[in-house]
Amino acid sequence: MNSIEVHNLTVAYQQLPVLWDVDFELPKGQIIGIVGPNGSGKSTLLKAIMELVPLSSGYVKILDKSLDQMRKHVAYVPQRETVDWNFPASVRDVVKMGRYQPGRLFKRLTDLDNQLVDEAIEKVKLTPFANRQIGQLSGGQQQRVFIARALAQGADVYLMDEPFVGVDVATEKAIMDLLQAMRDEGKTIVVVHHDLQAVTANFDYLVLLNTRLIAHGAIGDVLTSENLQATYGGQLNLFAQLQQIIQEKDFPIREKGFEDK
Amino acid sequence: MISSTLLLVLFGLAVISSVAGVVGCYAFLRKRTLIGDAVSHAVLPGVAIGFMLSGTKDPIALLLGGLFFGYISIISIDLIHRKSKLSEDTAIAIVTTVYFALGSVLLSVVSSMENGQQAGLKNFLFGKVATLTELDIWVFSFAAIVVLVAVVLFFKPFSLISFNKDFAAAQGWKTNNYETLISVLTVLVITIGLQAVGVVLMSALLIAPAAAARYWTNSLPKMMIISALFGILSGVGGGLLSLVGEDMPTGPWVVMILFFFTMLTLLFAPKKGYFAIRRRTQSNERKINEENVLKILHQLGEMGKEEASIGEMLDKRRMDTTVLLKTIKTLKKEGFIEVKDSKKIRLTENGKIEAMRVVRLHRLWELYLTQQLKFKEDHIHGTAETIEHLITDELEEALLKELDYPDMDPHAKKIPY
Repeated sequence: MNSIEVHNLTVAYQQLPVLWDVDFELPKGQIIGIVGPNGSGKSTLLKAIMELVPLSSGYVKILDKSLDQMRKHVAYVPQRETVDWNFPASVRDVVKMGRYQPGRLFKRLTDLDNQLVDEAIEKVKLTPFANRQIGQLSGGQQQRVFIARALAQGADVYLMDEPFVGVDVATEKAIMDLLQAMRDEGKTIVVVHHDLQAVTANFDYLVLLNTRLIAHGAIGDVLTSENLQATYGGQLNLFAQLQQIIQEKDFPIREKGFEDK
Repeated sequence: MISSTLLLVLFGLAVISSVAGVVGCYAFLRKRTLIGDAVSHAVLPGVAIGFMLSGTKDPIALLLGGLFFGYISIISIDLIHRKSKLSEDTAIAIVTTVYFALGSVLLSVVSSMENGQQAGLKNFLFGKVATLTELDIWVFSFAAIVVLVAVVLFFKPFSLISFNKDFAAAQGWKTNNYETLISVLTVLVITIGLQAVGVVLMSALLIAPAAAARYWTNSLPKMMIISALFGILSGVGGGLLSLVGEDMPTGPWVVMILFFFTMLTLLFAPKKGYFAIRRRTQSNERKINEENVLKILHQLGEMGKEEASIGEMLDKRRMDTTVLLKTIKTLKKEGFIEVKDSKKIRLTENGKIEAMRVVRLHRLWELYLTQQLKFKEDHIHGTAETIEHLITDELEEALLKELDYPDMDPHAKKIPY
């Protein structure tokens, strides 16, 4: 069984296509990097998988089922900069949010919930900071708060958007160790990462992305100079021009009535 | 004398303004403070139409009219912003002014109607608590309590979408529905507060208590309680003050009291208030001065001078003379130095230990900068000057270990232990 399947996925922001006909399957129980330059649609890909952005075409499956059926089995870790860290909440308050579930709207958190929260905080080594307001943490600590919140969800598949951005080398290693420990427990971790520096070597599987899918597969098979050139060698001029024209003319990205088979 | 009518009015004001304070926390945290202002202006046409349809100043007609137009205004802002490529603040400005103008036109029509004058609809601009009838108060208080219950019941999704909407959506919460619900609750609060506080100033009762409360706590539930308290004090206080004069509107008094609490907060709040920050800066400065004076005496001691005059100390290090004299006084009080009859100053035993610590930290840090961080030798002194005052015992221990207990600093001066 695949952890995630993506079929014919196209996403456009104000007509500008940021993901174009992307199609792949990801294995289970591995650390999977989604890698590409800035603006290559990596974050959008995660958002599309979590149905946070409207799809122009295509569909996604998680553990062979639809997202709605598998909500409790997927945890999403957004980019750190997307929230205001001045929010009046402590580390524990935020990690508790991982235990909020729409199905338990009016129920209080149970002892088990609180225990899972404490364990998650412990795993990311933030126990001494559990009661601290989140704005008073370093960037790396804030990133670990987000990871702890996902851990508290107790999911099988984790989608992390740029968890290594703005953290120091020591935190980078700490997070990597944590991801490896999670993988060894059988979890699947999908990590969006913007370059091919050090951490990538610790990934098991790679998806190379630059608006379109360049390659995906085990890390040794994918890292060819040809693939890297295609990923990082700059946008293809013609392709970029076409994107521009689509946006300027408000042209539809898919013809009306076109159905994905 | 306190009449039962007055008590009822004050009760109504307390309920309305506390709920405004609570709901305002979400508007504040979601950075939608301008929308609150737009909505409070935009409910005016609803109030006028409510009156036209019911023929009297009926609180329920008023509530429904206000709710309808308030909600339409939010949708208008969203539509203008998304469909026209105008920025959101432009959309807000358009909606605020157009709806307010429409409301003013309709109100002038209402005023010329039968019953129109006595209804005192003009009071909706700045609010007049004296125009609240008993029925008004019961209806508005009931609505306020409904809002409060909703805020408590939906605490989870509301706080989730306020902090991190994408995460909430990923968890499967219907974020759009909950955002709509927050909007409706906000509009409801604004509408019930209108008659007391007025269209023009209602947004202050929504936002100011929340903004002030944020300074006093880092917990959302506590922030809501504090915000509700600020709301009650301002609402009730403003109501009372406005009842003193015959022709006094309530809204301006409420806002004046809110402003007073906000100022109080900015001055006295723990950690982030003006005085707290000043206290910290002053104590830092005092520490820096004291440690610098001790260091001067230690350095003079290294040159064989056990005692020094003020002049000799100033030769060693440039310092403001008054600051130096003041610092000497404090150091003497703390027993780190003694002043001889000859007006010369020398370190006591305790002072020597303390001075050694400062000099040691300075030199250790210089060594760390050159050895570990590869700073150039002529660049390190300035950095070390500041850092020496910051290093704690734990950091010193770590520094010593990392440098392997060195004897000399980069300028070949002895590191004193």
